[in-house]
Amino acid sequence: MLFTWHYLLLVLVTALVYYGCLKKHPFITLSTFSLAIITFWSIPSAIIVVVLTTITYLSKEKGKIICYTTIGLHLLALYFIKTDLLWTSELHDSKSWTLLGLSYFSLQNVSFLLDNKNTVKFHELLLGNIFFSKFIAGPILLNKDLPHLFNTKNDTKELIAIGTQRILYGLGKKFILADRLGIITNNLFSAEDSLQNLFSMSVASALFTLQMYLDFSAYSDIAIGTAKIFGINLKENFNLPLRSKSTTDYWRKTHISLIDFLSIHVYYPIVYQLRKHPLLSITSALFITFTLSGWWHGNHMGYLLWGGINGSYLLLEYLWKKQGFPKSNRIIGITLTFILISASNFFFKAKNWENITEIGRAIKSNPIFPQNWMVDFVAIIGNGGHFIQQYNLLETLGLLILFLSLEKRLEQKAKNKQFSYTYLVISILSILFFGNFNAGDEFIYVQF
Amino acid sequence: MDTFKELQSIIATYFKIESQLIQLKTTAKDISDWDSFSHMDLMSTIEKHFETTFPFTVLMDFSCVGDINEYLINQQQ
Repeated sequence: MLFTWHYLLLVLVTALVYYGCLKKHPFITLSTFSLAIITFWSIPSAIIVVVLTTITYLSKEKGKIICYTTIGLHLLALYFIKTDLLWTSELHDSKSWTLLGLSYFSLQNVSFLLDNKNTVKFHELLLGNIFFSKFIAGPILLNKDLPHLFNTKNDTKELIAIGTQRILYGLGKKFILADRLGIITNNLFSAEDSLQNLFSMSVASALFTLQMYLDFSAYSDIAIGTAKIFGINLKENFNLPLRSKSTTDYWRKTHISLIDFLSIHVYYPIVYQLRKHPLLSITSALFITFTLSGWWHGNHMGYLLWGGINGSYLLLEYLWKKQGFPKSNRIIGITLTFILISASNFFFKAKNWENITEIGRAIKSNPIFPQNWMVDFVAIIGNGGHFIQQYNLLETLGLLILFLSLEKRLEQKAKNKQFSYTYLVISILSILFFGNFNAGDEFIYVQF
Repeated sequence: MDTFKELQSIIATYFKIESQLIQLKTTAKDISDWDSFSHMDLMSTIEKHFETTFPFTVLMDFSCVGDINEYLINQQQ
């Protein structure tokens, strides 16, 4: 995996060299470091990001036709990568064609081309595209974010404190929770057909919702924390989405950088063009935006359905609000939102039409609940029926409940600009004691 | 009535809230119902009232009520 202890060592060495002698030229230094790291990961990715960034920058001045041709080039590259033509399932096999980060930096380039303001300089666009902590899975920066990359009011000590604590917070989420949940969800989704029933798949989808959030937000924490150490401000990608009272609220708080891009460059232009017909404008904008959001993850039926279902949720909530129906209370709202998002995430996890129909058939032919709870359900989610495995399962669920109840407070601590030695010691010990280092799972969003 | 007072009244009526809650520095984040669904509808209402059309790029640059107010005043001059 790309984010292992090697990554932490890399950050440490880079930071020491940077603050030791190269801080005077941040753009040149960090661009060179980042490019060297990307080249080490995948040579084609390094070449393509530099070539596409240069073409993008030069196109901006050349008029609308060239600009839109370049946007077409980016979309074509995205299309190829999403349809597996340039992609291999062996993500990090250095011998094969691997294109990392294209889904993310392509959108940044498109945002640069579509934005009428031309204040971004080449070195800002380049660093925004290649900075190593965000290169593989964002956050996606918009054109308006690029001139403010180094705008920070914090001194070096504060930057290092915020960055380090944020990285530890992300590592904790990944190793203590997301990777443990990953084992459970993988077991449930890959269980024999006879063991897949409505109950087990509902639990699997709910746990996958938690896993996906913890995994992706962990990646974002590490990316944002790393950038902070070097004085770079990356936008937040999550804002406690599990506390959302509606799906509309949820989509304001999750994968914020992608939703911002789609809102500004897809949703609002459609609504603007059709604004004389409010219902038509909202309906078409929502479906196009969310279908594109699904497609951005990959050219698979599961992703498209996931996008379409979420678009439908938002449309229903819009109609509900427009009719003046009452808002639900907080607890009901949060619970219902979680259930709805989990239901859509079933399609996301299943990914292919073949998997969806296969699991659908199993659910239809099997009873709703497991026949033998210990053998058919608990042993599967516990990764085996032995006592120690059952204990691990209880430990995972306990840690998950503890985290969710303390999440807001922990996040505040992770963003604190003063070093908290108690926080550092507890974080490191928790990761070492409770972290699961055997799963070897990639971050989920690295594949997109 | 000056432009801001009219604007204040339109926005307050649209969201069914007190006019005093709408100030020049007010942003969409300050009004709970001012979301991506209501935004364009509200802009259309303002456009109709002031008999103007916001170009898309201008509309996307509005960050607070003051920006809309400034644009409307410039248009009237």
